Amino acid sequence: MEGILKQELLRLKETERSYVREVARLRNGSLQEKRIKGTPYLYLVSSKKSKLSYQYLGGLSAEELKKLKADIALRKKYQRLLKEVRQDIRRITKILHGKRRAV
Amino acid sequence: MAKDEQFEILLTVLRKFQEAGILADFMLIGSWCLQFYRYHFEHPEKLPAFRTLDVDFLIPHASRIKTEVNVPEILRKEGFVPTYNRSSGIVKYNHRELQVEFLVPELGKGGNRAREIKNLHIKAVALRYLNMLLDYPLLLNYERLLVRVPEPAVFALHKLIISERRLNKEKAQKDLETAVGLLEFLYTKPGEIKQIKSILRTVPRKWLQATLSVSGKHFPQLNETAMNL
Repeated sequence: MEGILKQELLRLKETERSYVREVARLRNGSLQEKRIKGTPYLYLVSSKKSKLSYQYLGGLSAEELKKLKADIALRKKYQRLLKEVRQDIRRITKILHGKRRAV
Repeated sequence: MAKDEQFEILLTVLRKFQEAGILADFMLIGSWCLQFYRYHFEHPEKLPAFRTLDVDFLIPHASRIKTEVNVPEILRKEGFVPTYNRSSGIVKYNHRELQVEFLVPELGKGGNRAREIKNLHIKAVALRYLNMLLDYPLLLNYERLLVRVPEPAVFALHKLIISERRLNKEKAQKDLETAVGLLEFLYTKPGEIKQIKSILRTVPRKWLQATLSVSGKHFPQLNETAMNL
């Protein structure tokens, strides 16, 4: 049983590293629409050194915008999974340490 | 995450492969086949229920695949991340709940490097003894998914062989338990015994010897069957 847990821990740590790498590769921030005089304007909102930065996306083509949206959605999915993987790592580490102490 | 959610992730991947028109090019092997065997045999109690995180897809004829499909991209969208092994060139696709890997039958002398399948943008690991699975395919219609798995009999015999070759003792033990559990169930079905006999008649002599050397210790009934071929 301990061997299986150790193996799963290794796999999860590997997965964690891969998620971290992929999250860093994908575009940071989220999309925000502002209405000025009734006209919608799309911005990419991201934080840099604890300051919010707004990047106007008016110059992007429909294709580029679609890709950006997909990237942001994927990054959020990866971040959620990364959080869950880290929870699993903590849980398994706790079980393994608990075992060692009991012996 | 609940166990069924794990199976749901696998089904989603299979659906995406089917939509991309490549599911027919793959054979699902490994412990997840048991899930489909349960369905095939209408959920019997005696069938072993082991399953692991590994989802292995065997690609029988990599060179015949003409459609270009970006498989890593499909997997990425479902939350899988590629994990690289730089020394061997193997790429696995990890998810919190599952790990997808692609395999091809090893031909000739073999080698440790991964084999690139350009049209699918993936690298597959070449392993021995996979040809025997390909010779006995079973096509199942599961929730409108046409899933190809090896026949249960050949799956059990293959598990017996590889349990001896595994370096990881725990995995070897799991393979052995799966094989014996499945064989015990198959031996309650005359049609499956007939199929086991027909497989034993056709496998290469060395492979047969490898199978019987394991079954002699763990499932002697198979050796008796082999004696009366």
